[in-house]
Amino acid sequence: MNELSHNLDVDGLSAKFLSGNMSLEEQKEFKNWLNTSEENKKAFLKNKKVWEQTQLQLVSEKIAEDKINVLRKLHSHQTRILSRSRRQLLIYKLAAVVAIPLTFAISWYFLNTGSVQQPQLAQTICEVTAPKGHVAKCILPDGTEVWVNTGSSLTYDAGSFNGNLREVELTGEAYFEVAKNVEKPFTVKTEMANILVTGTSFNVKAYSGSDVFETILAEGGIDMEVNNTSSKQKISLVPGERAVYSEESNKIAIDKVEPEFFTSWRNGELLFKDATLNDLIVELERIYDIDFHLTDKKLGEFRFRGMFSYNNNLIEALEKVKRTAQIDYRIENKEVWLTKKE
Amino acid sequence: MTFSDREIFEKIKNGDDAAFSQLFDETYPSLCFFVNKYLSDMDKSRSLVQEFFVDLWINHSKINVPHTPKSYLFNSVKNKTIDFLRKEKRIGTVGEPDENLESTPFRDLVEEAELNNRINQSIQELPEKCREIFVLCRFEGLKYAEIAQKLDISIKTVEMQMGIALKKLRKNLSDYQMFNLLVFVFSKKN
Repeated sequence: MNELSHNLDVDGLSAKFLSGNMSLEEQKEFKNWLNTSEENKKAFLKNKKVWEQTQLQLVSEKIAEDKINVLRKLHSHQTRILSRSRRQLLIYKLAAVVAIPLTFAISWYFLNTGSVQQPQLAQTICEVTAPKGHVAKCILPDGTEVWVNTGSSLTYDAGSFNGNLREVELTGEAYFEVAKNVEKPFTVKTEMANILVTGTSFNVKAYSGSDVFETILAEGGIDMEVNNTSSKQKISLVPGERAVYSEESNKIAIDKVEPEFFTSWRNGELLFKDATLNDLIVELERIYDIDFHLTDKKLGEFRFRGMFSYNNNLIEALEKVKRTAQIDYRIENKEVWLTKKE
Repeated sequence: MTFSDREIFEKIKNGDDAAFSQLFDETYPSLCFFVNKYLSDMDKSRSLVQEFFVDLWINHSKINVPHTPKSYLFNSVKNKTIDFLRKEKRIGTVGEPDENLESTPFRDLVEEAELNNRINQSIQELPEKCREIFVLCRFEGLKYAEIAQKLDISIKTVEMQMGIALKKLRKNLSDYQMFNLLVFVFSKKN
């Protein structure tokens, strides 16, 4: 047996035998050897049964894939139900934009009465909001295209917009492709700063509650001016530049960025390049209207890159995090707890 | 394994998607192995079980929380499978169902599927190198010499690793499962 075994135990020999890697000579020798020990014979018998039961495997990656597939199907089912009710909403909104005389009452309905002053009679305030987890796109009366990010809202006075003033107010984040009109400048007003343009594409991020205003220029040129300062700061940007104004420091910082990483949201995608888990959490909280908790603060520093889609449901996003970052999740009510995977 | 856990169904009924996710993780592979006994086609089996889960969640508010979740799950996919086979038979794409299967008690098929799942899990949990070698040998049918060449290692290493793999798979089964394993294979031979 010495020659055959060369240090192989009964399991090694069983595997060699069962997988057909033994010569006839060796097989004979192996069988004889088994007959000399009851214990080895038993072990071999078990090995043989195990071997027979490993005819096919289902690898973990396939299982994960299948799960995502199920979740995707469920999501599209859900969206189908939702879109029925949303389509009705859209009709109201379209009416608000187009049919001015009729819309007074309806636009009142969409108006956030708390923040906007009582409208005078000739005013027709239109508001475009995006429901949680969705991006709204609208076309303004002048042909300007606007994508409004989830949880954000854009208001404008349809009455004066058709006249001389192209002016919109924004809370949150929106991407603008402004129709060119040199005679009528286009203005985006936010709480902290305003953007003035004639025709261009740019992104504005001005969430209420955040003390930072951010704009990124994709094409053309824009002017940005800060509100509420004694020395009215004003700057101009060239494409690929990002301006961030912080209320706290009262300073504008400009840097070069790749605009597509900051504007991908309008296609319902979130692109991350070397982002931290903390960055991702901020976005997920906004999209899904939930709160995140980290059991270990250090988890938030985990860095990754990748793409998340608004079309994913929350579980898909969390599964993605789970797979790439070894981070487990637990959902309770509207709260998600993230823990280090053991 | 929380197959017998009624609580998880209560949660799913209430729309708890984490519970749904958990049920999937815990039962999906076993259910696939189970359906595969009828279909002998893992891809078809997988898509059938996926359909079952999609339906389960769509109708979650209407489910009656089963007293024995395990038999509920396996029975549901079995009915789905039989429906599927009936349709296929009408079109004529499959032959007669396996006679052996008809005579095997449902409970035995379930236990065998769970056993398949347990062994599958053990394979997935093998140390990486060990698993790679085992997969090449068992599922891709490569000879030891071919594996050694492919991975640029000695044949001796392949022999050792195969032994380690088999030992681990064997040891991972409880005595009860091992007993079942011996019984099933025995009964099938007759």
